[in-house]
Amino acid sequence: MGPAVLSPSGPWSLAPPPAGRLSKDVPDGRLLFDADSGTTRLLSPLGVFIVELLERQRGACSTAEIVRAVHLEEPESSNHECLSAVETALAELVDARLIAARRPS
Amino acid sequence: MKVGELSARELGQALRGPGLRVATGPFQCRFGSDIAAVGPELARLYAEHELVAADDSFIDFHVRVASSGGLRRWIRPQALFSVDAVTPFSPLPRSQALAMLEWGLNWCVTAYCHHQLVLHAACVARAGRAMILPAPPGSGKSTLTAALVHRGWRLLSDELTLVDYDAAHLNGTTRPVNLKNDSIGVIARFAPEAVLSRPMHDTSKGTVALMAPPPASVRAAAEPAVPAWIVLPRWRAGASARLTPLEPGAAFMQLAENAMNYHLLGATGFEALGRLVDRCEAWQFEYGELDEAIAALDAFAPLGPKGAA
Amino acid sequence: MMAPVLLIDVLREPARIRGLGPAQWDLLVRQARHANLLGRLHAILARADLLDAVLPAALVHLRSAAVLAERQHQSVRFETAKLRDTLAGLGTPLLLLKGAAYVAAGLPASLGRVFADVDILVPRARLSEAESALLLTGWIGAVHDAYDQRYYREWMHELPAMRHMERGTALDVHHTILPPTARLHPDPALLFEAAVALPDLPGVAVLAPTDMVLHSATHLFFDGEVDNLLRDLSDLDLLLRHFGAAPAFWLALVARARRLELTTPLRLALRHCRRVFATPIPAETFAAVAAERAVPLLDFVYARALRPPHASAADRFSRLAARLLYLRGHWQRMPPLQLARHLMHKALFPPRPQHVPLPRAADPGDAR
Repeated sequence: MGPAVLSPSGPWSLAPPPAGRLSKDVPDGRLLFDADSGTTRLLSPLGVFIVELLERQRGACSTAEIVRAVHLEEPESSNHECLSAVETALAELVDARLIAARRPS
Repeated sequence: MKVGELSARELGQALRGPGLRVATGPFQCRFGSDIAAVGPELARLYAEHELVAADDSFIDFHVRVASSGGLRRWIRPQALFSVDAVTPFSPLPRSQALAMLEWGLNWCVTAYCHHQLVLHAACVARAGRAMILPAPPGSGKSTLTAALVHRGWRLLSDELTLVDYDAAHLNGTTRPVNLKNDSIGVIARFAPEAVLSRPMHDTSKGTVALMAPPPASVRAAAEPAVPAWIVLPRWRAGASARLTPLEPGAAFMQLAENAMNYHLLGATGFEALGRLVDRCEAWQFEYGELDEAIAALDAFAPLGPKGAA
Repeated sequence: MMAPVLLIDVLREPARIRGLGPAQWDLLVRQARHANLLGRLHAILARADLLDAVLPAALVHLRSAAVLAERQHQSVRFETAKLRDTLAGLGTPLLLLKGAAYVAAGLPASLGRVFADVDILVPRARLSEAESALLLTGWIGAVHDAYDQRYYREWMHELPAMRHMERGTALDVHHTILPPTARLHPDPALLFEAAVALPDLPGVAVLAPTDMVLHSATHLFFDGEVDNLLRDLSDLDLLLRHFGAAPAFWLALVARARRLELTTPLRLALRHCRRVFATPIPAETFAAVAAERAVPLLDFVYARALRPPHASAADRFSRLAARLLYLRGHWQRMPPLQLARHLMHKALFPPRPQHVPLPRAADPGDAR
């Protein structure tokens, strides 16, 4: 059950949360519990950042926009490093059903 | 009255007849067996445990290891574990009867105790504060536990640690520690005063021996202990004792993986485990040598609880 | 008359727990556990506001069973939603049976109920379609033996049991409530016609109250597993008390039983519910199905079978009764020639023994 195939540019938006989701913020990320499926996972700090970014935006963000935001937080990293980290985090978020790629209208 | 105060005859009669009723931590067990060798071993391993009054008591686990009932008796004789006529395991060689009782009692706890979060972890305590040692098989947890409890730590449990949902209290079963293969000799040398059962060979885990909980641990069984530390031990030959802080999220995931009923408890389990990692400092611990390991862990004891000055 | 059973006494009259000593609590917990009624016992005591009268050491066991039951209920709700989506293409609502139905409909019969699988009813004509849809969403057949496959498809009233590949849940897909080869032939079309949609679960339905009772009775007296008979009777008792509060129910029940040709199971159900649980049943209803009629052999068998499967509740005839019940079950499900062939096959090819899966901590390695 690996990560879904990513649409490389998004746009990404938050998926509606399932009824029984619990979360707990910890220094090393965010613990998530999905009551329906009974799965528990630890979201990375970067994953949490992206989720909060999407919450603030309230619309959709493209991968490029997300990478830019991350780069602002991590100016010492190269673009390539940011992109790679973001793609990994996005895959994690898709797998956790926290975000989805919206079809272009 | 303690188990150790019974005569061999009384104990044997109890096992064969109405049952030997013993308090083990928060549980009361009734042991039964028709295997002669079991009695004297139980007498040594449970010598310090209190007996439970025979009339009108509530027994949590009616356990039995017996050689009767259609099993092989003379050629490669077998024994079978049962709890109130439920037989969760296949028969095993009769020589392993004692180990079966312990494995069986662990099974009972994992099957019938969902009113608490049950962690697959050892637990020791000092001055009312508990150290939880979750570890998959082969991590040296039992050896480390056996050593710690002979150097001033109190044994709560070797295998199963029971945590209240509010994570403010936990229990162990204060039952014998399960030692395997080389660690039997290691502990015998490390703590000559340790009471060890006869080794049982050719079990699925190799050679196994049971070590009685130290008398002080048994006497203190009713004393409460508050969770304070989570330590994931890993033995590596020649390694120096080294503690590395473990972040709460990672500690949570480790514990969830090592919890027997985390998934059963659903949201309750998530919240209970969350509270537990909030209360405890979490560490990864690598060690190669027991004395050095104990010195490293002893250093925890004078530290204040998490968050305090 | 057999000796009273503590568990049954307490289920009939929960307040009796006030007089129990520790050894009796011990016995009560063990009987309830063996009968798969420990979770129900907790729920009934909770409902009667009696939990603080429970011996603390016993409460541990009751609460543990309640946790297990609740977990199963959550799982069943989740599976119900998934199944509804998977089978939406059939164009009929998802019709739940037994425990899954009690939970979905929030009935008292769901109190503390534990169950091994989800049961659904699908029109026979749509069976292959249903099976395909299920296979596509991760359900796999749990029965591999070709003989067993045929046994199910030709002779039984259900597809071979299915299990979900990832979640491990078990599913039984029925197309009628008794095997086609059985003596009784309740028409499933009538059951579908009368099915009741659940207002808070669109796309999901359960049997009409009378049908739910009749199905439960039929299952118990013609199909039930020996270890769950008392639990099934307890379900029946709870269903009857709940639906029976509506006065029109009883007449409808008798009429419906006649229509579905299920008067015999109803007779047995009413007779034994009253005997065991003192279920309040109107005298006219009782008389209408001749439930007071003694049937010596069945009475002998059910006097023993409708008890917790625990040594404390058995007498010296209990094993004989269990064997007779087993034979009766097969007799009911299968004409004599097929039965003989089936039993012979089972004798020649006994099913592989199954042992309870071991939790990690107590794993002695399954050395066999």
